Amino acid sequence: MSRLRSLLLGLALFALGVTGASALSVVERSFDELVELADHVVVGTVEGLEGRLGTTSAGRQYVTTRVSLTQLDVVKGTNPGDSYVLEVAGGVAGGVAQVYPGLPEFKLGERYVLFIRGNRQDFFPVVGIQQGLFKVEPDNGRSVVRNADDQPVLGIQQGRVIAGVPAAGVAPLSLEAFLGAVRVRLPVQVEETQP
Amino acid sequence: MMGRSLSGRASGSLVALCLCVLPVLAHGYTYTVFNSNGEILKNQAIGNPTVWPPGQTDPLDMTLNFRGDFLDSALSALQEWNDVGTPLQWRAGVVRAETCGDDGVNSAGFQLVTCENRKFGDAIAVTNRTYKQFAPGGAWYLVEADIAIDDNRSWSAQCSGAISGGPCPNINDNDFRRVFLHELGHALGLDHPDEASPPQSVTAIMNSRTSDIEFLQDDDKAGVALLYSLQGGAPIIGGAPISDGGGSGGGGAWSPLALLLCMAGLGGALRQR
Repeated sequence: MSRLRSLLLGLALFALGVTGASALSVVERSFDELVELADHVVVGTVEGLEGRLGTTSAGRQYVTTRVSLTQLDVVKGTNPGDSYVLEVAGGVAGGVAQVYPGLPEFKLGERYVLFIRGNRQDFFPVVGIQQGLFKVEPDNGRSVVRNADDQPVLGIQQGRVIAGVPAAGVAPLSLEAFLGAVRVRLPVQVEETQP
Repeated sequence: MMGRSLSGRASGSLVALCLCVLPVLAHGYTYTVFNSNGEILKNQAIGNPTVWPPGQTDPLDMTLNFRGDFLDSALSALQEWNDVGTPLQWRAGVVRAETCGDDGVNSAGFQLVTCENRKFGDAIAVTNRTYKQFAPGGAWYLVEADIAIDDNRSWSAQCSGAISGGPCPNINDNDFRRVFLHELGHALGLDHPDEASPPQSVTAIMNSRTSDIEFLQDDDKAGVALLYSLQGGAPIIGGAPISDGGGSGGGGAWSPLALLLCMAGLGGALRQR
């Protein structure tokens, strides 16, 4: 059965021409790299979006948006507690709107899997920009994940995320299976023992 | 009788589809829309685009903080967008301006950090579009666009064609001209067609996906032509000038395939009579 699924995924990969979510102005990242490079891998629901006006030391005004995530499931990294605030470039504040084409947008109430790196240091602190952001959605009584282009994730193959319209016989990957694929790529924690 | 009725209905439906849907689907280019609530909607294929102020007929200055081959590449990219022939034309800015200055001057240059003093992360180039309202509660307009190219990475002025005369000398180099041409499209107000919902399948320099495209494609030209109508003056959407505020639009020209499908559907419908 798993061989059949792999075959169907392979065919889907061929048909879709999917080779990963690389972008013209963004470094292409494999799924393995998403996991490896992330400081945190979290599943969280957007509870708040707040635009803030800031000023650089050179006097330039800029807008950032604070994305408040709750109902956290921390898959990688230290547990931040009940909530996590992600700071991303762009938004609306003080009568100014700043837009960065190509940056994914967060929506209130939506649930995401995020591969976070460099929060408050990078202008969009997600590995691979749109490649490290996945939406969680209900699907026939279970949760599935979609990529930033809103395409269902069908599987992880050869270290890459396969996404697209599911062919007959291929179900979108469940959230549990997706997070399982993250967990198997985490470095094994070696417990120190007292001599 | 039943079959004929259904067939006729199907043909009628096809005609309706042609009239209502295909004009929208005939293009791939997308743009940003501010809706009546002031919400920013990126990658939109319909609706009134939020762009540089209508009626802007003076050239739009972009200060290019580049030298040598990179300046030549940047100038040729500006010219390529200008050659589309819309009233909105780029001009290499003569005003000295920092790439990230809060000065109302459009500028582009290599930067070690983005304009917010943050790391680029996995982005190799970033366009920052700033919008403001000229009157409280009024329409939003693009007022400044800055392009920051990650100076932590390795670049070639152009990886093929006239300027470099061949492939990138270093296989790991990024193709500056291709990336800058793409970012200039963002500075004009275009977004990524393949990030629309549903994603559009078109060949375009404005796609987010890696490709070997080096020059503007028909869809890129159609996109900027829609944003800054070739007729001059205010941008025109669906035959009507853009009004301030929200409202519906409906961009897109008829493609030959769409016309063919519609004619076939119309012919089928007429035959049923």
